[in-house]
Amino acid sequence: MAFIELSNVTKSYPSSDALINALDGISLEIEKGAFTVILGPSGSGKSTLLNLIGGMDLATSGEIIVGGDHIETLSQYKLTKYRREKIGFVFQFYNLIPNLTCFENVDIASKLSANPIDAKEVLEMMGLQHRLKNFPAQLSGGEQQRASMARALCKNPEIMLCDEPTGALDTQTGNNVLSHLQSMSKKYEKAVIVVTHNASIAPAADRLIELKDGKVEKVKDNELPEGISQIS
Amino acid sequence: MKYFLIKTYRDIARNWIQFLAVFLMALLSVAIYSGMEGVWHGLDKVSNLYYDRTNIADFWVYATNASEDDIQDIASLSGFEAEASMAVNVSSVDANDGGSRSFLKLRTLADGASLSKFLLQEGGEFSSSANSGVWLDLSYAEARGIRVSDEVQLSFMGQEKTFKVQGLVLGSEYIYYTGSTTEIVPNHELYGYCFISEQSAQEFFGRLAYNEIRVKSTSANPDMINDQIKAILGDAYLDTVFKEDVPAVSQVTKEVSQMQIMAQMFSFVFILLALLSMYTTMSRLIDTQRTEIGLLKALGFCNWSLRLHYAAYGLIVSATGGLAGALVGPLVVSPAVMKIKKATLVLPYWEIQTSFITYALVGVIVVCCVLSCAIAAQRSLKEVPAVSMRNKVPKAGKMSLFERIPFLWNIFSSEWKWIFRDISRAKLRTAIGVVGVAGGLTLIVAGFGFSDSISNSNDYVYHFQDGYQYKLLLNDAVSPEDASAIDERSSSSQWIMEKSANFNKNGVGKKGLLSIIDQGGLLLFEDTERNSIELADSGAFITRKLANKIGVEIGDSIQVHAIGSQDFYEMRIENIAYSPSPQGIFVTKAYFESVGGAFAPTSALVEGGDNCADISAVKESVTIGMQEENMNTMSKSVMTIIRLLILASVLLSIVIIYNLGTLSFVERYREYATMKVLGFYQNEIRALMLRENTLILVVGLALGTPISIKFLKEYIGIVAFDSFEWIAQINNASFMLCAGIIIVCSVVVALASSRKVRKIIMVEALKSID
Repeated sequence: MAFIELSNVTKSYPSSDALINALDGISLEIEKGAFTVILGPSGSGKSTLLNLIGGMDLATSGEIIVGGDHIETLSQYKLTKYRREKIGFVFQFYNLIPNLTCFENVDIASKLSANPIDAKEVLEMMGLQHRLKNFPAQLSGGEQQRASMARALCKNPEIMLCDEPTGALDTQTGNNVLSHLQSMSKKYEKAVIVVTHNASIAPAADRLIELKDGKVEKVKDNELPEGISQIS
Repeated sequence: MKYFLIKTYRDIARNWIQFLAVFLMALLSVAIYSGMEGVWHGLDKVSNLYYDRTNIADFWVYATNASEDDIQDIASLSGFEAEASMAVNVSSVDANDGGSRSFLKLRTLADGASLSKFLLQEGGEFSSSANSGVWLDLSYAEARGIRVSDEVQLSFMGQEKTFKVQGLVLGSEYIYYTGSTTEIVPNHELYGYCFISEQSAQEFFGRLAYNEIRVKSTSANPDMINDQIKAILGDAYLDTVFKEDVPAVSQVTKEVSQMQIMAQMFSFVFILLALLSMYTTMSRLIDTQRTEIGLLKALGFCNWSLRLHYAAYGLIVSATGGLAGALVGPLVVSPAVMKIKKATLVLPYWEIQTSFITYALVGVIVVCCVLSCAIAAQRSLKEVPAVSMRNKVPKAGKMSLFERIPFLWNIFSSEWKWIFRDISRAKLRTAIGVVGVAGGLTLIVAGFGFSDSISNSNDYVYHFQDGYQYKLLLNDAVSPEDASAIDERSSSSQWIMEKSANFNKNGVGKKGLLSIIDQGGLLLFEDTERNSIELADSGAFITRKLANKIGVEIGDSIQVHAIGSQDFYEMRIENIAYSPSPQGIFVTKAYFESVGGAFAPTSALVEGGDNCADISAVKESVTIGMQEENMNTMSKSVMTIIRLLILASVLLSIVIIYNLGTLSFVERYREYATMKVLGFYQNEIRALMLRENTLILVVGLALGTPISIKFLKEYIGIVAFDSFEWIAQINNASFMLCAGIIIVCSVVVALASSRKVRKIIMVEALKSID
């Protein structure tokens, strides 16, 4: 059984006269330690899929099993516990808390975990050791995104969910960020799932999932994924 | 324009809580002010009309026994009108009420008298013929169930006569009439007034002895007229009292100014808080419209039309709130206040009337709201559409002051650090929160402190200072037999002479009570430091409030003039007494005689006996409990207003705290959403919100404590009556209650706002931002 298993998952939103299916009976599997890329155009359901796996939203029907737990049956309290212990989220627009310094943003998340990775160590790994006392507004976009990744990683979660992590960055900075994410999946054995509409990173994925109109159009496993630096 | 109106309507419907808060603040501010103003303005107007309709005199000259010739001489002078009358206190025995006695101030009216006339309420017009009957005080008649054509038996120095009640009347000289120095609140069942013709008076008393001359100046200077009358009367002259010193006028003036000051001081703080809060609410609300402003500009709307559109938000909500307040005040607040005023003042009718100031206040509130909307809109209007159409970047974090002191900073947990940073980032919001808490505490402490100050002062007077059981009011002449009967029937007694007097030092004068005390220990005194002091035969004690008013210190000498006489005394002040009431000076009988006074007791204080009501020298017997009850009735008139103000303050505090909680939540919505995604439990996020709220609460309470005590002192000092010093103080329990009310309001409101954490939709909250 795969670490993450989605079976016939549907997410519908009511419209004035009908239901709109953002996800329409999706089934897929994702393994631990894999760098998974979900590709698709706008409106294909990528972010919705990520939100469902992350316990930020609830599916209309179907099963989502993570590490043997049925996510769709969890109460709000248990969903929070699930996010707290198992999920690290990286947002397109970083969502760092403007009032906390770079270090404090990471440290506050590490305190939520029973088995955290040292905040300074993670920030150092991200190349932010000289930015510890800076506020988010004093960091560049790439630095903010790396701080956001450090925040997700320091909780030592089993799954890293990244929603368009390079969407607000220039190509070089974006590749730098992706490179960090790819190495995290290997170094820390995390299931790293990156949602993007940038097809150029497809060769770097262990598993590539393509979505269209709320359905899985293609799943492709790369036996020998390329490094991010190789494809840029 | 049509779509702007639709948009305004929908925006209001969507943000109804914030709009409702501003609406309520405008409503409460105006309702409190207009409600109080309605009463004092109406009272001022009706009393002045009443004075005019009855042609009240400008001043009263008192004489012992003015002759017909004197009156003729006075009438021949020009520049004023003068009318003489005889005024005496008579008693009335009611056979139907077990022979109970009541007291009437009887005044004679000459044929065609035009000064200080009465207003006929029921019965026939005044007739100057003999045996024409009596025209009786309407309130007295109602209290005793007397009707027109009934008969009343009047008694004066052993002479008795029965009069037919010809009419029931009201006189403007008796708007506030207590009939006795022991009564503070009118007791219509016991005291009243009546008018009879000069011919009837001659039949009743056997002769006419003019002792009051009412004067109305038409052109000449009143002081000059007074001098001329004094010269004509010679030795018969006793005293002159000007209109502004007559209780009927001075009490109305005092009550009007008391209500005015009370409402103005309270409203000032109230409106200031409300305006601050309204400004923040409206400007934050417009801030949330930033992207829409960008969009409308991009569509081609000019800045002016957008400015007007957003100014309309402030206009609609503040104008409807303010006007609703102007309507609610006179309808709800005024009747409650007026009901209490009716217990002390008698007017032919009552009217609630607001002035232009109420509407000017509505105008100020509207202008403030409209300006805050326009200023907030201006910030976005200055930006190019491309910038304002994007969501606003959250304010950058800032180092808080504590961070500059590392050893202190490191003590705090990361949650507290976060809170301190948020405070240094949102200084205005925090400052308004602190001001809201401090202001709310100030207003509530003023309310409860007022109640405590009155009750503690009353307690001091009636349970410490005055140690007697009965106060016996005596007739003018007390026979030695009656005096010994009073002494014998009580375990201890003390004779006292009380006179209204003017106290004057270096031209600064004030009216008060001169109390001359014979031997006995039924009155206790303390100095201003609350040390016990004994009244000696070498000088006088002056009460603290009076001493401050006329600038007297220990060792000074003051001039004392007993009103209604030509007696002047020079007295040396030996100490300043803490006594809140009566305001005046106290001397021993021996000292009074040493400065030329003649002791003639007006009351006897007794302890441990009966009420001695059957002794003929005793005009009236009152218990200390009755005196306290009287004072409490008087205090109630103030307390009703105070309760109203406390209620409004609590409501205002709730609205301000809730509103700030909502604003804070809206500003930090994205941060809370991020925390939810990171895996913070709802309770952890709520705890963080509550901590920030607690910090604001603690700072607000710390700041509000000294401010509220200072405000209470000033407030009571200004509002208190001249005759009684309410010593400003608040009991610890009451202060804890005030703080408790604020804490409970704040915590409940914070808990209510923090419940919104549940409703954060993480997916929506984190969608797009720069």
